[in-house]
Amino acid sequence: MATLFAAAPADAQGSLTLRDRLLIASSPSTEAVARMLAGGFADRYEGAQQPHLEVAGTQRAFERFCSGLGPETPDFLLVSRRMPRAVFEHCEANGVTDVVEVRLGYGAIVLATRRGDIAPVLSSRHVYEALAAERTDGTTFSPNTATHWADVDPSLPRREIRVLVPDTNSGMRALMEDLILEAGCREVRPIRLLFEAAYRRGKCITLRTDGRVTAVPTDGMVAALLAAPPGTIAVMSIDQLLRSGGNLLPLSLDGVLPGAGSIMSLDYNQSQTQYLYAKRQHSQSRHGVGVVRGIRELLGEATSEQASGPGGYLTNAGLLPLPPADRAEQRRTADRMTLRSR
Amino acid sequence: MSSVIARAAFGLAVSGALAIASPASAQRAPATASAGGTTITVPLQDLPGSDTLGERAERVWSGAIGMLGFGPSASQMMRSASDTARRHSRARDDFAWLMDVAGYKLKEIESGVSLFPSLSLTFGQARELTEADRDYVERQLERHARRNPGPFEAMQRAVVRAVLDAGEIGGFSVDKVEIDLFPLPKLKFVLSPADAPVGIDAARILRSIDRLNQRLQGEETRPRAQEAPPAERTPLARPASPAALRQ
Repeated sequence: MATLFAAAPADAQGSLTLRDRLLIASSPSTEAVARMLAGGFADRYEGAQQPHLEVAGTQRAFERFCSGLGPETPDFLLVSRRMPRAVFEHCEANGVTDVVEVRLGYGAIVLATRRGDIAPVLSSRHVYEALAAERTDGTTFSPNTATHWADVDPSLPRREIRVLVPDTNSGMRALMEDLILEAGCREVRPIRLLFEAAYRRGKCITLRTDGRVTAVPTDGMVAALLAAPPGTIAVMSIDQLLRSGGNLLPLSLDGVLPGAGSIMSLDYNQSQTQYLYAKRQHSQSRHGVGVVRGIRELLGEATSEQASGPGGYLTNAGLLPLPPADRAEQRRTADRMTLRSR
Repeated sequence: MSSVIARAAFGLAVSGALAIASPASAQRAPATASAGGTTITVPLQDLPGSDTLGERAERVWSGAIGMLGFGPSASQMMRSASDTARRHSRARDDFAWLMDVAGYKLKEIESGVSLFPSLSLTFGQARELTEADRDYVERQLERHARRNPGPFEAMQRAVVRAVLDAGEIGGFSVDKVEIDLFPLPKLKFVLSPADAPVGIDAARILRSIDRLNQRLQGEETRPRAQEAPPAERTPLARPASPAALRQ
């Protein structure tokens, strides 16, 4: 069992806690945001230990969060999908009845090219067919040999396929796999007919290794694109694109140009809302003993303008801010620790 | 908006009646500030006591609001769809399409003409969903809600959500969904355990595949037909004798 921690700031000596740091469960696609938020929280609050991060698939993260109360279970859950009612009921069945839900912003991924380069009109299917390790002719799968965009679709320009993608294990890579590659192969009939989810996903997200696709660290993506040969396309967060100072241009995907308007209206498919859940019961003391300190503070930090507002540090992880009215609503929810209704 | 006003009014009434100070205001953290780009740190606050009367009242209210279908997403749903949205095909908004993206294909339409006409639809599971697929379905449902706020469409979304939720937790998957529209609306899910043992027919097929694999591997590893010693031949590869066939 956990040790009791009383080492706390001077004005926080009233109750003991079972854990000395917050525990955040996160899905891979929100990992970058969770990591930055943990760092921002530790910087903001003196004596606060950096929260511990547990990364697992969204469903597993939901299960961990809802597994019960106590020091072994996460205090926070950061995911890119709203908690379904069934999961919420599962939470309640395990005693997790007081859940606070806030929306942090939107994660969006864009295709960008250098200003002055030809901007092909791409669909997510084009991108999947250009980047995937295998292509199908309708009956069999064979190695992808397309060298030019026109090989993928004759209506596309005869330019060499050269794409910079985020490196593996980054949140942006997970977003690209979910929102571009899987979206692109969802309508490919031979893949659609595969029943098993894991096998189907493998077919969708396995990238070719013949040099047409280059993995680049997320923070070096803009520089890498500026230094790349003409015609190169890069996959990056919308925030990176906006901070490129006009040197890069977004490409429309599936007929929609990425932008604040198209993302908020849900028209741009390569975006998702990011949700933060907190257990209010962990922020309370029972008979002088609580689980952990800092839940209210981390909620406040996450919804603050310096974190999730325009230009906030979470935008470095690709988070696009909510509209001002929605941000104010989330801050109120965080401040009052309003419970999520079913 | 009315739910917000009602909630505020209820909050005032409850706090007035119980005369309990709001824990939120009592525990307000000191304001954080950022001056000249430097972070000013502040201490963490102490933990408040748990399960006050006010919190119990809040939980009851939260449950009641949930049952009525209002939630934090209500404000999202109230936003109007943009012009671009109208460009999308309406065909995508229909129920069969929603079920399709949720992994279910329409298998049967059963209609009967009599004094009481009947109509029922049967959907079968066509594929398991990946996490990205689930996100996609949620997104389509949210979009559907913005564009089709009517009660019939809400019912359609409720069916799709129920199918998704059933597969979310508990180790069950929804194999089949039967929807009766006339004479009386009825919804039936056929659930099966996710780790159920395979049936007799499926087991037979799996065994034959295994045997075929063993034979193929045997063919590949054997040097050549004439070089292979008779003892290495598997019983399956041998021609069946009349005695064996009788067994």
